[in-house]
Amino acid sequence: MISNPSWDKQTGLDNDHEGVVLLKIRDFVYHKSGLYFAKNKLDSFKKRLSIRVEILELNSFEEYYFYLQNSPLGESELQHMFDCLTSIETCFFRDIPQLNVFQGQVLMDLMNLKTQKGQNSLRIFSCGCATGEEPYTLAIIMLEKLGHNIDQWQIEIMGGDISSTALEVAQKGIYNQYSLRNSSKDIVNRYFTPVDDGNYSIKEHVRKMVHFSYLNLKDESIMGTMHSIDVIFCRNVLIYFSEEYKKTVVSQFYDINTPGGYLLIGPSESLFGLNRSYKLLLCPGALVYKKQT
Amino acid sequence: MTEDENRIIEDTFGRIESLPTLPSLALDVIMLAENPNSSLADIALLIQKGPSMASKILKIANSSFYGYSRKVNNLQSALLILGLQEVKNIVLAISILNLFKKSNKGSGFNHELFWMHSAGCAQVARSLVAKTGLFEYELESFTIGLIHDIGKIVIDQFNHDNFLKIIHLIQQENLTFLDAEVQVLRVNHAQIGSWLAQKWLFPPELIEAIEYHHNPEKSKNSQILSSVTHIADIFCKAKDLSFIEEFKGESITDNSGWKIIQKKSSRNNLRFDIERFVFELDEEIAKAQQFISISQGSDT
Repeated sequence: MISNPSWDKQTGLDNDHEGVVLLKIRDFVYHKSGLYFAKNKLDSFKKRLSIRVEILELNSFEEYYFYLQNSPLGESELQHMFDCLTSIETCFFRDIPQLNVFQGQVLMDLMNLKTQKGQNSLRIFSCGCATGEEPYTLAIIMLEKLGHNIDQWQIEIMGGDISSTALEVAQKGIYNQYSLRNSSKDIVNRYFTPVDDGNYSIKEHVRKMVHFSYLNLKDESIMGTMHSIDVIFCRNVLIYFSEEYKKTVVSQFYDINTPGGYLLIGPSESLFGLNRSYKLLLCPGALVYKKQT
Repeated sequence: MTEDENRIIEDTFGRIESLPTLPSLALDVIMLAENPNSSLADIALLIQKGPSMASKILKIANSSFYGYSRKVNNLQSALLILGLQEVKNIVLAISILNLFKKSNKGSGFNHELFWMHSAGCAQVARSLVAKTGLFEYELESFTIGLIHDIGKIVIDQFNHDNFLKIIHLIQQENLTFLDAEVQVLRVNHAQIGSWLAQKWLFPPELIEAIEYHHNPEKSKNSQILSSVTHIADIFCKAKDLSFIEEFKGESITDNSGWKIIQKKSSRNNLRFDIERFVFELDEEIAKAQQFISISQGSDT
């Protein structure tokens, strides 16, 4: 039990050189991005990296590791690598354990806090919302959770993204079946209308809850207009920034968060070393960050 | 615990004749392991008296739990490789895991999940002390992790009506397990567990660690072990490893147990990466799962 290199056996990465290099790249990625691949996810890590190795016409992971560290193109390669490591086509209800924590602990806590203060507003910001699946999912979760009581709350969900093309898709709110692969039939029936070609259109009452706008996190004039956000979702966005810039963005988030508000990042992401203010909370199935009340 | 609390436990559980006792094999192994004059050969001889115990130890030694690359063929080599204290620990774990195998039907108590949580805690506690440089607690932290909640099984099996009341309170009134059981029994599972450990003649530091695993700051002589168990418990609940949904989320850095660990850690200059530790837990939990399935497996 004292030394436990058991994963080596499971993944077959034990004594071979490649396994050692992969672990080095894994730690390098964590250091650069805060994105962590636990040992039980190393197989998929390897598969995804090999796509980049092939594209760059390199011969081994070792060459790739060298390229990342020493090539003048290493910095831009990082961006491609992160794309490769995080790109699972986005869908409704992605990362269910985390959404359960949002629906359970996070919303419960915030609603109690608001009720105590005699307030009834809830503002949620989906940062890096791409084609809109995340903010619409959050709207559906709130509709499900609050039921008839939803009228007692003033709910605002904001989706921001740097890609205008993606935002246009979001605004239209029409999705194919693949984006609904995590959604139950019930949810699809209640919140979507079938349209042509097997696609589904989000119903008007959900669409009305979400506002989309162009967002560049590096543009302080945009960030400066935001305030009083109760929950910030920012999943797999920070990984693309330098460490220094991540710190700036996290502290901007802290500023626009209401006291007692929450920040939720990607389920494999970490704010270790970037965050001095948020409190890390361990919840059943997910980590969340909370601003002091 | 106060005299009153002790009396309540004695009155409720003290006269139950079917209360489980540790098998004599486990007691003998513990005694031998504590005796500086005993040799590995003595222990091997003793363990071989219980053939199912010997085969389970071999299976564990060969499992990914340890991850040795060479096959361990016989008990003697297992003892050599694992060492006396480690084997004692395994014998104890296997014995305890098999004492409470049966589930009370329809009790709302899922034994499989219960032991998964306990073994998860054992493994996480062990990994936690290793990562914080508290190596001298490695073996004991595993044992405590495994048995810290044993009081809950005692309530379920020997005071079942009250156990159902506790579950009802948790589900209906949104209470924590601790609050609910104190409301129903006036004592909690940590106290009941430590009372049982006392009956089983466990070493005093383990008895105390069981008692204070929810409030380690109150422990006098076993602060580290109670703290480690307390924190491992939270980590496991954060991984959804719990037999009842009562966990609402918690900060580690605010926790009194965490502060105690940090203070005693030989690596206090290093900041502990809690996020990364959580990401790595899946692997620890998979190991724990394997430990349980071998320990509780059939005797062949």
